[in-house]
Amino acid sequence: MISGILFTHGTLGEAFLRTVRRIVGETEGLQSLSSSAKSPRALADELEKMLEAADKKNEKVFIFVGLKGGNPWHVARRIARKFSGTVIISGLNLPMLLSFITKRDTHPIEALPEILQRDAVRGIDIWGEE
Amino acid sequence: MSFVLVRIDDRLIHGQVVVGWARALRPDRIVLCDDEIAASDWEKDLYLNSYADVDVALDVFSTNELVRYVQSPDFAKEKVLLVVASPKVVWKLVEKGIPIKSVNVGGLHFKEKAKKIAPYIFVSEEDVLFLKKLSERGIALEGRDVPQAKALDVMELIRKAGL
Repeated sequence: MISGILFTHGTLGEAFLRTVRRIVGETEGLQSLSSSAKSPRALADELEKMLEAADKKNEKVFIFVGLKGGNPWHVARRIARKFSGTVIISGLNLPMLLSFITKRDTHPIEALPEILQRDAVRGIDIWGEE
Repeated sequence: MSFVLVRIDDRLIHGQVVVGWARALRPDRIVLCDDEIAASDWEKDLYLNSYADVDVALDVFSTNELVRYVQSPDFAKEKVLLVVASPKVVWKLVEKGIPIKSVNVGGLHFKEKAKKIAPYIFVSEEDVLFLKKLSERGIALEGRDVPQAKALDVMELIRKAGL
């Protein structure tokens, strides 16, 4: 099992979780973590506990963040060093997340990051009248 | 040219800086100045790889490297956004002769024994000491997290908090 953490500012991660549930129903192994109103230290500790819990269950974790270089991304990079096999993906969008949920059990973990990136980009379509 | 912004922010390079401030001020270069980070290859790479905007150069400098850069012809040609982690680092730079006239206090987050003077500014005794030293040197200290926010007078907040 591969689990996912939606690590975002404010309530964005929580909103993604609710939206995903509306589309594919209840999903296991998907949590949100908000960076808002927490000190960098407290935030790092919270993420570390989540990764420790997953490690005990022998789960690999994909951490999804919105912005490369943003605060959640930095905190994730620091903590993930301690847990081998953890993947951090920035640019979180709904197609990426739905791809993760529907493909994590059927595709090899090594191939998954690239598949998520491809599906996230494929989800961007532009239409406009001349 | 010179510094378009000298910012104190304990998160250093993050969204408010690279998107909020950098897109408002359009610097040619963002410089993170921190002796500890500059001394660690892992930390340095982390910050150098954290920024995706191709139009703006990014450097991680130690305080001595920053002094050399400020004395170089490049500095005269460029608009620079400087980010440091604490008031102590700004003081160190001022003492080394770096020309700093005003400082943006953009984020000092909760830490042990620190007092809250604004939603995004928590100051330790050491922070207060160096902020006062900077103010006494005639350096303006403005609290502002994002460009559109209202500017706060940091020294007034310190006085009001009785610090």
